[in-house]
Amino acid sequence: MPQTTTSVAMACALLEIATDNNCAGWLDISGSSNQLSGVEQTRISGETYSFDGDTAIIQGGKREPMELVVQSVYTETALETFEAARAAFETAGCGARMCLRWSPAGGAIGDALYTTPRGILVSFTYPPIDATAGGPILAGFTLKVSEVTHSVVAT
Amino acid sequence: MIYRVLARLSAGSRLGGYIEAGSMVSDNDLTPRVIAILVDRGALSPVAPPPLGVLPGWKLRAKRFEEAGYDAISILESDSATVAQETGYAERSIEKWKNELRGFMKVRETQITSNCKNC
Repeated sequence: MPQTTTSVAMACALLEIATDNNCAGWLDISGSSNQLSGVEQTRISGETYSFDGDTAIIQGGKREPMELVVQSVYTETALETFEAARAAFETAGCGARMCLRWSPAGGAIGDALYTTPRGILVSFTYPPIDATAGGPILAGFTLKVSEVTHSVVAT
Repeated sequence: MIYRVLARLSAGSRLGGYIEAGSMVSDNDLTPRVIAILVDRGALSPVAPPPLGVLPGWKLRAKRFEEAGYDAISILESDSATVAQETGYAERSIEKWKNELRGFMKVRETQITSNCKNC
């Protein structure tokens, strides 16, 4: 099998969030975020044994929820990651909701797009401070979602 | 031209604004540039239309359409008044049959709104 020529760079992605009820108003936060992690989803599985045989009897169950972690650059500008996520997280009620979608290749026509349903903002990082550090302040949030769906950007 | 969707397409800004794999789109739905890219990426594939005579309820009228040079796709792509004139059927019937064809071929009827930021 020849070596692939279609690998995708890690650093040129599109990342968007939507905080409205229908997840219709997508906000591009690519310019104020720099990392998305927690993208592994697991499926419940279990095993048991019998007196016969030498190996386990295994079965699979449902897919477990995922906790997607977005690392953002701390800014005090409206419509950038920190302020948009803070506003959503501080909304009173049982669970601040948000949708998230990302396109590893950048979101052009034909690129893959991964989209979550409305998830719950389960954590939010306020700006840390450190007199010994020299870089920009980093913050972030964690979104708990049930699944991620794949599509191809067409419009 | 009609295309079969081979990979779920994101279309429109609303969550759930998808065109599911297995459905059809026409070149009225997407621009030629977008279609070319999606075909190249394997997300769309051009399809040949079924013979009109095999569609449910179309056996009798198929002959007249085919004599006038129409297949399922060219009926959908043509102006209803022109098709009516060339086949001798009423324009209202043509509109109704176009909807039937869209249903048979799972072709979208509404225009897709673009939300791509990097196109």
